[in-house]
Amino acid sequence: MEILDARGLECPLPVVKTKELLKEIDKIKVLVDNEIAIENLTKFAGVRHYQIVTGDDGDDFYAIIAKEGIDEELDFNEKSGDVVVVSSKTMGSNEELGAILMKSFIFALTKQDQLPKEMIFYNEGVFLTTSEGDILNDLKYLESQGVDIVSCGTCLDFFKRKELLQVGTVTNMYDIVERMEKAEKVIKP
Amino acid sequence: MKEKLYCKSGGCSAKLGAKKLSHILEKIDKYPNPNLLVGFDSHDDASVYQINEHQAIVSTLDFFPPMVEDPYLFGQIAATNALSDVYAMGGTPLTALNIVCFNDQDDLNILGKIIEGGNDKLKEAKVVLSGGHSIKDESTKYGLSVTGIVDPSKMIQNNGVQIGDTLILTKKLGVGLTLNAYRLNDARQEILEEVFKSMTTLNKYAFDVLNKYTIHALTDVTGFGLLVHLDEMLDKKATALLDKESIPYFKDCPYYVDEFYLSGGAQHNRNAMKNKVCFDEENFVLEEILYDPQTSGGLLASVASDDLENILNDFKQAGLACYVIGKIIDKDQFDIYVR
Repeated sequence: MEILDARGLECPLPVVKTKELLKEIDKIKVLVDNEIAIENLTKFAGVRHYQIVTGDDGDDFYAIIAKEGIDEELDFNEKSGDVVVVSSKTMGSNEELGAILMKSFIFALTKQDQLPKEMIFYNEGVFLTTSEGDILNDLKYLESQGVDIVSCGTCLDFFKRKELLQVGTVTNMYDIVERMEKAEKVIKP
Repeated sequence: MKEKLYCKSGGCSAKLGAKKLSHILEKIDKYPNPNLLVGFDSHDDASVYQINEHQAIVSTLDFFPPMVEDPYLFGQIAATNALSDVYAMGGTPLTALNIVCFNDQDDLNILGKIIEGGNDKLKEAKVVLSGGHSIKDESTKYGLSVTGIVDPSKMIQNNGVQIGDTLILTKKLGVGLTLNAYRLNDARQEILEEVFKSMTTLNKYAFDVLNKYTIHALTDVTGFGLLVHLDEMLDKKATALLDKESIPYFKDCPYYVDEFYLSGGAQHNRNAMKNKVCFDEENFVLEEILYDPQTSGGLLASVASDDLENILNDFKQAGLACYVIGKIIDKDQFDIYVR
């Protein structure tokens, strides 16, 4: 999604710039540094009958504005979504079969209409984000589609695979807990 | 080379929000002095301090960042705006002190032009420039502290409305919207000229006409926009009925609203009036015009309806604008109705 960083700009600039960009595109995320700007963006969306979702991350505020008809997509991207948790190289206990199943699970994920919001890899799951192969290609595809992929840092250290990480970012247990708590549902292969 | 000022969010739209302000001011423990007739406690335009039976000092201070690039024009606007508060109290301004913030890396001629513009307006108002204070600052700001005099028995506060009064306004609304459009290079020259003329027209002339009559309440419309200033006038004691067809504004304002040239100040004003105004139908353009922060706006007066015809005649004869925008009725559920 296109992001307009309007922090540091005074009204009416955040709204005026948003308005200009929405002539070309259908959806935008606007970052601002004050609540009044959010209220002006909300007013703008109201008058234009656009969809708007607003929030803040402590110091700054954001608004996601979309033209009519794509509110479902909005919900999916910005509200809590599904989180896939992978804690093993295999799916199920038989190692040989489990590896095949995991490969087709990840592949099947890429074919879903609604992709998960996030994927968390821990314990031996981090082997999937650190090994070349078909699974890695599918994970890279998922990442390119906006899926947030994270691997447990402690686990990478334990298996001495930190330098081998091929996709996504490194995270810690607090973040993993938070992500799982916020998840609409947790999917575990 | 023509000296130009850099404008970010100038004029009265640079004002802090009314809500934020009163939150702080409530906590200040002021030294009590019975001679102070008008002070912090009211939402009035200037302070008034009685010095003897027939005389009181009116003091006011107003300064802001530039809202126009032309320094001379900026000076004129700042002085016109600062003087206005004294007229709004029913007083006569006598002396003025400059307040200057200026970057010493900039061309000093710019500052010269600003002060010259201010002084020319003081001379027009027969006010003597008696001093000032200047400090180095990254961004330019200019304004004045004006001192005047008033007979306490003729002082006009902003909250004396009476049921049945008629509300009149002496300048068009939409200064803030036009200045936003100007900063975005989307204001027509003819509109700008009209707005600049309005901002540099002393409220002295309107006041001189009004002063022949009994004015129940008087204020000047500035950063808080028409609705917040009017609401302060009503002082929770009465309700105002505004006629939506009679609200005067600069011609291109509906276009500026459509383009969302809306300042943060307007939104502050809207928030301050939450649940206090009732519009009979959805009219976003009119709402924004009524919340628009004015720089050097006109006088808003509440006058006896019996005097209205004579007042209007006098304004006409003096060649001055005067708009009848509504009336005062008994306190109703909302403070202000727009219909």
